[in-house]
Amino acid sequence: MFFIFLIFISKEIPVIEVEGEIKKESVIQVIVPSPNENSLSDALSKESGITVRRAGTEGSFSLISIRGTNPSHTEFFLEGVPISFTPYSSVNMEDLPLQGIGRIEIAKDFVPSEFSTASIGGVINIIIPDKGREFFHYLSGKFSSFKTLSFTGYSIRNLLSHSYFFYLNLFHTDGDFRYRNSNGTPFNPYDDYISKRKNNATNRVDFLGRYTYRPSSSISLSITANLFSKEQGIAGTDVLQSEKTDLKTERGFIAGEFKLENEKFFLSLQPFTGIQNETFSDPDGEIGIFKEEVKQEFLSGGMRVNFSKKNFKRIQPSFSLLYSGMRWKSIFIKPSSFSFHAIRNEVRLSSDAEFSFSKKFSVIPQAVFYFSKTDGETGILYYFEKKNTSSSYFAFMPSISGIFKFSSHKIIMSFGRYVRIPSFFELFGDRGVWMGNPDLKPEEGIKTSVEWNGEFKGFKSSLGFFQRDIVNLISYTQNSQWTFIPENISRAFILGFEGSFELELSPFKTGANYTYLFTEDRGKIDYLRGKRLPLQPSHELHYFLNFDLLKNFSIRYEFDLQGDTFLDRANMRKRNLKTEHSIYLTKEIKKGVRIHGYVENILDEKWVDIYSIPLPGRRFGVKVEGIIM
Amino acid sequence: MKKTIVIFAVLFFIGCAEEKKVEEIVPDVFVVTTDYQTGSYSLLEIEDGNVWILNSPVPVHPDAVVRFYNGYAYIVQRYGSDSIMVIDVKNRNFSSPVTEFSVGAGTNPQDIAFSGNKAYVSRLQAKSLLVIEPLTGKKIREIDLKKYSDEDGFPEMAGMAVFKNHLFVALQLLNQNEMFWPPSGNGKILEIDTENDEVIKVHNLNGKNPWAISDSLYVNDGFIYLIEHGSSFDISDGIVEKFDPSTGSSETIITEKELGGDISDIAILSDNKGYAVISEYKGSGVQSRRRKEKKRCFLSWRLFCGRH
Repeated sequence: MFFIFLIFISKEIPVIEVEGEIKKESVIQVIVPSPNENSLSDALSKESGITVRRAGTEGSFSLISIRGTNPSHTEFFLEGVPISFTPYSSVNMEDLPLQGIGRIEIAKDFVPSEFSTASIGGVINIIIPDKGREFFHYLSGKFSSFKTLSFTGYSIRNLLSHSYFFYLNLFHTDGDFRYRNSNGTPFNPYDDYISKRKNNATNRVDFLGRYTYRPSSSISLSITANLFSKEQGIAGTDVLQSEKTDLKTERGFIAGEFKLENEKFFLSLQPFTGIQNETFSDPDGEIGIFKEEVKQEFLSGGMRVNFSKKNFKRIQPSFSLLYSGMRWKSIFIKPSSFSFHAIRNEVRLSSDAEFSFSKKFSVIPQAVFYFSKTDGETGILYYFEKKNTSSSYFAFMPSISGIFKFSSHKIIMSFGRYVRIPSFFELFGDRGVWMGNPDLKPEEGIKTSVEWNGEFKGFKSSLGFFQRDIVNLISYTQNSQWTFIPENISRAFILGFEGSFELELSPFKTGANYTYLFTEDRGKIDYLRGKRLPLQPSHELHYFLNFDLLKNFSIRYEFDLQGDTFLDRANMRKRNLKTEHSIYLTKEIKKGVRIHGYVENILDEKWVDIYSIPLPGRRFGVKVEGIIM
Repeated sequence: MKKTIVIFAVLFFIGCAEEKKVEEIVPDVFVVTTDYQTGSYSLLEIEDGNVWILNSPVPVHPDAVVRFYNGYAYIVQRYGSDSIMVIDVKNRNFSSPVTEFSVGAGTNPQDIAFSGNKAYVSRLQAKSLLVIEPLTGKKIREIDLKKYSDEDGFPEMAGMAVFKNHLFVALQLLNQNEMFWPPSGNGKILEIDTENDEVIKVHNLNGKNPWAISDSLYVNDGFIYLIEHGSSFDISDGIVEKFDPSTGSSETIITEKELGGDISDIAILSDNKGYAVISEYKGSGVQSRRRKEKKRCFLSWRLFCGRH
């Protein structure tokens, strides 16, 4: 079956940037999701140096890793406020707000001080769209394979000194795709059969609102609230599909901001608080070892202070302080009544200063100080014990970045140290197939990178080299029952190269990006030493060709390739080269209304990103968008 | 975190004579390894005192045990794979399995035993014993054991042994509704006639949870030795029981209390000497699962002879 969809496209709406804090723009990459990208994962999977691992259809668990690091290394922010405040160090991309809507800022290596971190996996900052108009309303409806329905709307209104933004997303999928079931016997293809994914439905509601008041041109006050609710079936493995296991997630998050800005300085104060409740239920022990029901509550709150000085000779100093307090409570209802709670207070202090020696060359030294104190009861179900704990941790993370600009070219070099202590979820979490490990040690590493970006008329290109050397890398590994447990790899080495180009020759536009990754386990375990790190493909390529056939009709072809990868630490389970061909069509019906259709994975190739978790094959979809402005 | 590697091995052609070369005693060793994340197998060949190791490129399920029969190694791949992989050891064909067949998704096979052209597969999370053709996996029949189960509906069949056309199947009788599956009562041994595949006798055991890491049912000199492990976190409720398959009589030969820890495995050297691998819990009582393992020897089935 092949659908031809009609489409409408309005002329590109200009994005008018809102004045704000001084960001070290040179080290931040900005992505504006295109209409082809329905989710954050979609938008990021097409960038160089970023690997997306999925556990099913749209709406299912999706993780990203940047430049060979692990998903837990990347920190997420909403307008600069940390949203990986959730207890889950590996953030499910599908749970983040503004899917496919918000502008995305990425810092892959050197992280500007405003984020108060030196994360080795970079940061992702989601920015609420602001079209710079008096009003802007957007509405879209999408229907796609596996009975997936999604309605998204957002509205922006700027009235004198008041402005608001509302966003609502309703999402449902049955996720009931067909896949080849190996019957648990990968070496015997004769007993394979076609199965349909069961218990894989997801229902999600996501609301985000922001109100801003600007009493004067230099002062603004805003409040942002996010409410999120999701109920999803946990389908189990390819052979052992579950019938009843599910996960319910509820989240509430509120952040305020007081912003003071003039020609000399920028100051922002952002208090925030959030709560997330999660209930995992496996009443028949379908995917876990036990018949289990566990509830996990996570309460957090804190304050972010960000200050930067403008036009101070040739120096631009920035200072950021982030305090956050977290309370984690784990309540086991089944198989036995058992609960514990712990509190962690964290203070992060980050400061950098951009020294511009000339118009062409600048250097940004940075220092990040981290202090945390953990108190309370800890334990995990399988250890059947609860013990009082009290610990504190201090780390100093210096970094430096050098930027050299000439003509339309830019070279960025960076070098720095990072340290991270295990999250509550990594230590004590329990989600049936995701379990904690209280014996984890903090991880630390050195990151180095050199990047070049250039632009010449319609041709843009970039090249980059990066390296990471990590001690006690915290990595999730699958055990015999397909349960994921984090463990320390005593030493790991990552080296990579990435390059991209984009060429515009109207009516054609084409581009590609490529990432090569060399990873190595250099730990103490003999039979694992020298092996590649799991789930890190050696090659990744994304290619696109866009053709504007008519004034209001365009066709886009995309090709994605992921090189072979190993699904386990011992490199016994290999996943071969993975490819996907996709076509996207866009047609404007009338001004402000467009239809968008796609066929992804045209050749219906069946792959996995995680062992025993099948991915869907060919997918179709149609989306209608309307804009009023 | 320190890794634990558990090795299950089948020794072929075990001989026992004085002044013999090592290879005459242990000519070949087929090893299945697991760290519970990845599984593999290898063949160790000994020739003129040198050991040649042939590592297989074929991964096996990370929770697996191996049995040997008529020149073939049968790798029992437990929960999550729930299948049997057959390797042609006789013809040294290690690069690809002869076959691999499912014994039922989620059934958690524990052991495979052979009698003539039939194989019996015990499955911890099933209610019937599977009878198959060992080289094809073709089902011959299922022997319903539901009536021997406890309140959770599963008899938890585990290790097996064949003795004079009779198959002996250990039933663990665990309670799957409770955390860590504690034993609901003393274990049993079912005696099945392999001619007609009917249960002919049920033998009650003196202890609970007949279990061991490598050999569930240890056969030596005409007797079946059972390690009855008891509860997972009780280091004093297990025993080693000696079962006479010809008479159905049994006796407790040593207890965990006497040995001072959980019995993980045993080896019988002679009528008056045997070894047991003991796990002791670090810290107090059942609060910790950290274990250190010691080997102890017991004489005349009841006396310690020190640490080894």
